[in-house]
Amino acid sequence: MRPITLGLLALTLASACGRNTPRPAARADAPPCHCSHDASAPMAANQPLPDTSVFQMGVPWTDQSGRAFELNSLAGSPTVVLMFYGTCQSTCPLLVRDVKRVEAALSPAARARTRFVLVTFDPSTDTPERLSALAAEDHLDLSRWTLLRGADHDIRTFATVLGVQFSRVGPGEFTHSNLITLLDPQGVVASQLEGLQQPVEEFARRIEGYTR
Amino acid sequence: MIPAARWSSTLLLSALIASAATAWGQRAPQSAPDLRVIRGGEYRPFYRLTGRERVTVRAFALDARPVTNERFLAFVRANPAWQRTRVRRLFADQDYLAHWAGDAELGPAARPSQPVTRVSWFAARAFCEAQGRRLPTEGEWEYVARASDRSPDAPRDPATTSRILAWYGRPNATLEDVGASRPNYWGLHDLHALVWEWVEDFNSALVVTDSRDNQGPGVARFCGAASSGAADVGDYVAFMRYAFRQSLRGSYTVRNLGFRCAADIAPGE
Repeated sequence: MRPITLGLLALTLASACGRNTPRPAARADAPPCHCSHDASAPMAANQPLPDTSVFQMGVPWTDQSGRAFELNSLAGSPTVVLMFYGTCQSTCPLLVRDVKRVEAALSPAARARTRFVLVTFDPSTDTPERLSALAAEDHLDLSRWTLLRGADHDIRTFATVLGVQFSRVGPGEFTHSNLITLLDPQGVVASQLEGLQQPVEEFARRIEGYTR
Repeated sequence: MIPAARWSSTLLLSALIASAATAWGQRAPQSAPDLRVIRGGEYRPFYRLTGRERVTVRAFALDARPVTNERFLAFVRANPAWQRTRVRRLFADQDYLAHWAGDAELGPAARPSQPVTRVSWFAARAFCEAQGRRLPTEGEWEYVARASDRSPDAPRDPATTSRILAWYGRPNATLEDVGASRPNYWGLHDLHALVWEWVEDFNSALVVTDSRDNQGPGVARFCGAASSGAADVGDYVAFMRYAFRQSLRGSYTVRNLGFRCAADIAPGE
């Protein structure tokens, strides 16, 4: 048997069983985004955030400098979001590299107006000092990049909003989806990259549209 | 997360009283949301993570029954942001409480003592937090779900399994009231065969792999995927629960998906 996620199995099983078996899996066929029709239009100042905006989560985050950070401060900029953890030896460095590939694919004007946000699964290990050191190691330009930590409860909320699956499997050890999310300037999920080393052209095209 | 300190002796005492006052098999008044104290322990779960073959659960308390329409109605009356027409789409899909007659009205399709369903994870979590409680973790829920009516750890109890399998195959137009089924070893009603239940970490990253083939596509979708696999593939009913949870998103609402709340208790009790 080849590796498959339980979610995919649920898709298969749902069709074979009775009324009390899982149904919502059918919705997994829907696109993973709630793309609004005018998603590429620049956001007007003071426009209320849409009902599906991730920015409306009133959750307190702390950045790599130890300063309080509000997600709604990202409003107006397209934002690329990755959940990760600093001590991850396997795919996280590759995922950060994928986000940097998005950054590199942008025109200088679009790049300057885009925000890149990394949110850790592991706030007890990834202190502001650690996050700061990671940013330096990876040569992340902190005028565009922000590394965030929060309470475990809020990290679970944020992952759920983005559709990121994760488990803590031991001290400083997590399993998690490899998922990079593009939020439009209003904070609505516009597109997601699942897996490693995926093509970044669609992200780049959308971001150029938002920042034109 | 509710700090354990906030649940010191007061909660423990009230939970113990509730537990003692309700003999196994007796039904407490459904308007009184009662907790059961669950002893800590460990078990070998359906899935396997390398180096962590057993799940350890600390003592906690859990609602004896799923949350009812009546209790959820009181919650949305007190918290209008969670009413059907006011909830943000980020937190609940368009079918949220769709069987209710109105924002704060149950109507003929939702009896007060039925389990509340068509609620999102965000709404279930907000309900529990409003009671000073929390959703149970997947580890906690599965721990108590292993009990038969006589044993705390009987995941393959034939009577329970056949009841669950019958439920899987039964087209049920209406839900029974909560508390109608026999309680299990812990005094918990309706863990099986009434509704599916939300847990805090329903979106845990569990991937079933065959140990002979660890380098397939799952590795790319998940970091750490190669380290997990099925330990007990014969436990079909547990497999279905994990599969169902993995298919959910936090905003989804489903006509037979409800929840119950848990609470921390002082360690060592």
